[in-house]
Amino acid sequence: MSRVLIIPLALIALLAGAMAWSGGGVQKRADFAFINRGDIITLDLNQMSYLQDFRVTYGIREGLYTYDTINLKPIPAGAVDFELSDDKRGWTFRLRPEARWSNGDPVVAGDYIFAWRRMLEEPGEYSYLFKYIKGATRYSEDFTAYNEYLRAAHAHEQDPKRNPKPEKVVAKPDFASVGIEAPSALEFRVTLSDPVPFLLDLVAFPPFYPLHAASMEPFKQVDPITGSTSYNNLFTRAGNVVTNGPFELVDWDFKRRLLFRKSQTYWDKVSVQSDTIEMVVNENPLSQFLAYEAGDVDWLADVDPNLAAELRAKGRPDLRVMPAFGTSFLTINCMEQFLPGTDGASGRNPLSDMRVRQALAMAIDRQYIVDNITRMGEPVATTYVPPGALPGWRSTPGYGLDVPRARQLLAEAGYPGGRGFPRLPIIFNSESAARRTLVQALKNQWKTNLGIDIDIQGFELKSYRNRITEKRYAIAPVGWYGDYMDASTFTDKYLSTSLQNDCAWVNDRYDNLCFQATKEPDEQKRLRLLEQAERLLLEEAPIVPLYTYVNVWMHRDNVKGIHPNPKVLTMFKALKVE
Amino acid sequence: MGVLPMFLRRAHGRDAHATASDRFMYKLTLYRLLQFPLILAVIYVLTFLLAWVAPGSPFAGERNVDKAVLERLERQFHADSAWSFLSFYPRNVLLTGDFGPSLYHKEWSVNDILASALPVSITLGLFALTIGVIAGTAVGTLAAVKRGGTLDWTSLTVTLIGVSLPSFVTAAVLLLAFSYYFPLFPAGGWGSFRYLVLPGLALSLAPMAYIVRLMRVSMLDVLGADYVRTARAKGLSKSLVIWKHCLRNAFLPVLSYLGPAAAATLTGSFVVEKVFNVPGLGQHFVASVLTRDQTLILGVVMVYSALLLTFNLLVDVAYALVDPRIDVSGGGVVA
Repeated sequence: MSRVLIIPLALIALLAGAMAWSGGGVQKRADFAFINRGDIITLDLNQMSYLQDFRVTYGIREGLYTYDTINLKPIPAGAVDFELSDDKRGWTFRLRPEARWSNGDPVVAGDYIFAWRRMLEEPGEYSYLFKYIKGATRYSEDFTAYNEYLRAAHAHEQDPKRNPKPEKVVAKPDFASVGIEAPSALEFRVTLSDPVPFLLDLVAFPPFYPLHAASMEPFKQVDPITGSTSYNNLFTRAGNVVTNGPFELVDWDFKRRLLFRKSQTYWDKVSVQSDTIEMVVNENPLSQFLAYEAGDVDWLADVDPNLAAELRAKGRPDLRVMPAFGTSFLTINCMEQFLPGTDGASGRNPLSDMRVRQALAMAIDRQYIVDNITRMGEPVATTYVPPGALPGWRSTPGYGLDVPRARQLLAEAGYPGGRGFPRLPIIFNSESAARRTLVQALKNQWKTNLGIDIDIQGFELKSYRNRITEKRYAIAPVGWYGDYMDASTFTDKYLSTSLQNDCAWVNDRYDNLCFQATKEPDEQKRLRLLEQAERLLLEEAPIVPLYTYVNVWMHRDNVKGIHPNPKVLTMFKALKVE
Repeated sequence: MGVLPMFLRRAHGRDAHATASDRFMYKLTLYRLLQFPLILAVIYVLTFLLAWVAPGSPFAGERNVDKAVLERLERQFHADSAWSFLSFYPRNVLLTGDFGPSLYHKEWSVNDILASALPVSITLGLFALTIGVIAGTAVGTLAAVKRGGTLDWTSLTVTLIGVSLPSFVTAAVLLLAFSYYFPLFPAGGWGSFRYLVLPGLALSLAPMAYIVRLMRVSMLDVLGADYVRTARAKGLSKSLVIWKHCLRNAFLPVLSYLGPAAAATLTGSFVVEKVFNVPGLGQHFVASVLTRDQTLILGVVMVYSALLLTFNLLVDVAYALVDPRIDVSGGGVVA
């Protein structure tokens, strides 16, 4: 026969080989399968900050308390109960004696101390939440300073000519100065510097979960100069990780799936509804939806905004929408002068004039935005803290659409009819189609209502975030989701000392109100103080709220255990397909 | 090298030049292979510099991160300065072929990611190429034989569409058609052969269309050749002549196109992988840049570079073998 046949035959043979090599083969579907908000970024509690990572962590790990997914109230988990001292600063948790790690070890107070100490010595994105604990921030900073001193001293020793001797000797800080201790194996005591009414909310949050030190030992890395430790992230991989939650991670196939199996050592395993749960990694909106339609997955935890709007218009009953614990707003740079390197703006910043910011806020038709751009029935917002999410919280409404007043304010600021107002840029994340339409709508509305011109500048996510962090921007659409169920998760962001204060807005009265609130033992009085702080923030308008975010997810009616709540908190324990 | 030159030499009947030409080929190949490390080193450094100057950090998340946190992570991952990066990672790459941990997917090393994603992309690319070659050759041959017929016109139209439509359109159309309206294949993912069909088909359209046109033109050429007329005059049937005599010679242009086609399919799979949620290397090619994952960027770029260099070498060698007048060494015409 013809030798030409060699080529297709060789290709087919190669193909067969490649298929075997690429790890094909279909695994059996788990009892419950879902697609998360995105792929897992890390499962190390220390570095975790994304919703999808937290969601999985709630399934495999457990803290002192956990959340009731129906009302988001903290309920006992790793602890049975607690005792609160009279000054409301000392919390003694009694640990659950039957709580076990997945390898059978009991969960003891030392495991909490190990994990919490690690958050201070190896600071991560959420280490700042430990600031409520007596001496914690101080210890963490001193520990970093001590390491820097050792490094500088080492550098000086190596090359005295080039590296100067450190100016002063820094002593190693003493962990005993931190308000974390274990009176006994099953008692864990936390001493706070101020009364924190939402402490149970905090300890139910993954950065406060315990870690199993012995299983992490093989992954320990010791810095040769400072002797400080860090852990190779490999310790979180299936087969290495030891957890204490209702499920165990049994398989993590990169970019393909994560498989969880009901833990046999979990103290409450009788309440665990499914034997296996699978997180399918799928990052394409259309393919996600088709997988859901085909029944390959039971729950789409997050639906692409464009697709969701289309499905909503069609009236799909399995599309679920619920206001979130997060607000979409504009952040405005309040600095007197723009920083060098701000594209499209330089010199004096007209936005440092409060009246200009107020005018911008009053010239926005928010209803148009939610009806035509986001299209998911988002509640329009003039307040910062999402309304209705916190019991007992009463926001004072901020600025709604009021064009005559907006024009007047702009004229008072020296720009009657928008004359003389410099062209300012609004930056946005160009990967989001919705954000692009949003900034276009804002540009048009400000042009029509105020007579001012705005330039639209799109940047890919990292550049965009970088500009905001470094305050090299004028106006940008951003958002903020609350971490725990308390207003301070929102109000803290605009303290003059806050790392998250992107506006460079500084107000002593605001700082004072928030400070008084942290010292206030009476819960109602505390709320009133924070409400005043929010009102001040909205009046001065360094931020302009647009709408409350909504959570959008899909599941069929035979899926049980997913409760609508503002934080889309879902516990693996309750998940089940009937 | 062994099988291919033998096969091609016989096809051309150039036994006279065989020994000299072979020696030249080996020399050439060796010379090119020696250049590889240098080229790869230059690519490594250039890629690193570009990745390094891009604003933003792989360790920054959705909110502003404390300086102490960033500095700790940067130090842990040897990314606190360009010097510290370059004095740590390249040595490991050279000594053990270890690209280090991914700075974004911190649980995974770059080698883990490459080991999981590269086979997938290669399988997908090979599948696409196999369909492209087999279907393309068959359709091209038939179109040439039935020149001016319905098949010829249809194939011309279809290939025109195949060449001009971008793959994200064809991929999305295939996905909707064959996994939603007619649910024959899964909507995405990776597993058995069924998962391979739609993305493979989507990826094969471009090379297939090209091969059809190449094959048709070259078959028309061959069909008009004297030896074909002679064979027909001897009384051999038309199909036997095409099968035994024409196909072999008409296939040569397609053969030389296989190198660039393989390179293009492998590096161009990003869109198709994205639409069909295939866990291949294409997604990391783009995502690693967006997340500023410098170690992964370097890993992916080096793998693609090595593959492209190899394909280019193979193509040059094949060209030289097919047509001895081409001198790839740049030293004039080879006799």
